[in-house]
Amino acid sequence: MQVEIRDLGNENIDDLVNICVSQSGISHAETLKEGGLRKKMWIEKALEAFGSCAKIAYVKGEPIGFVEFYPIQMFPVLRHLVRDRKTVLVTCVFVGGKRTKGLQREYQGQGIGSKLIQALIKDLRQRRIPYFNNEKAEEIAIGSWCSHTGFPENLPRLRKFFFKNGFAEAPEFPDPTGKDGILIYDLLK
Amino acid sequence: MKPRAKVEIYYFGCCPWSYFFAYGGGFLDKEWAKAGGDFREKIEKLGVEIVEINLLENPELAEKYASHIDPYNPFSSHKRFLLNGREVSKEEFFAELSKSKGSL
Repeated sequence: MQVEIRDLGNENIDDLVNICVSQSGISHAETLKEGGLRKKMWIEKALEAFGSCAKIAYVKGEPIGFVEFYPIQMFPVLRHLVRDRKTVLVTCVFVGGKRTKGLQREYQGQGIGSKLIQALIKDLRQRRIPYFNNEKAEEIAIGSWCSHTGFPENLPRLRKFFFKNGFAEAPEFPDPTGKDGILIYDLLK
Repeated sequence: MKPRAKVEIYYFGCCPWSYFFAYGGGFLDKEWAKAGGDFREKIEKLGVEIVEINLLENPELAEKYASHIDPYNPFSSHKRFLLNGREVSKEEFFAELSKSKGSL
């Protein structure tokens, strides 16, 4: 299967939003669709401020997954707690496709998520980020529902996925939720 | 006398679901195939003042009123219901509005 990973830019914002607010077989509330418009507005600003903040996976030209990321200081509460490193926080990793029993699973378990993560690692190893005074990021943090919060039944599988991609637990990483389990990829190693 | 009603919605601008959940939305079936149940349309019809706050653009407000949210979870959200400037529960908010519906 041919998978293409493209950076998010002004030309493919809708692709990202449409993955979030799936167009395939779900009856969405108007408010959720409105949330999609809010995301589009935010992404337009984020692209100007930080440059590309997501990578999108395409199969046969169709967007089917993404990884989204921002400088961690963007996140309220965390901005005073983060350690003295240039940290990029992954807010979301998702691979979907057609729905099976309500869930979008068509393209899961086929290595597409790893391709997205590896593309992000490769990118951040060389990219200079305006938010970090044009210096490179030093680490990637996964602290979302992908690791320690969200759907409990999925956590072991997701953690295994990140370990496989070179992430490790960072018990010392600030976590105001007290849940622990933040995962880090050290870009300096 | 009709109360001055206001709802503040705190959401992560990077996540449509955060916005949706902030308005009380959720999945309506076990298959996650139908989403709804939010109160956005209801408060719009009632003429309630709505202030939407993107947590990523307003860290001071987020820290003041929504410091308990999980900052690592983009689905996180928060809402405040205010009657005449006083924060009340969702139940009290809608009960008061219901009582004064005639004057609204």
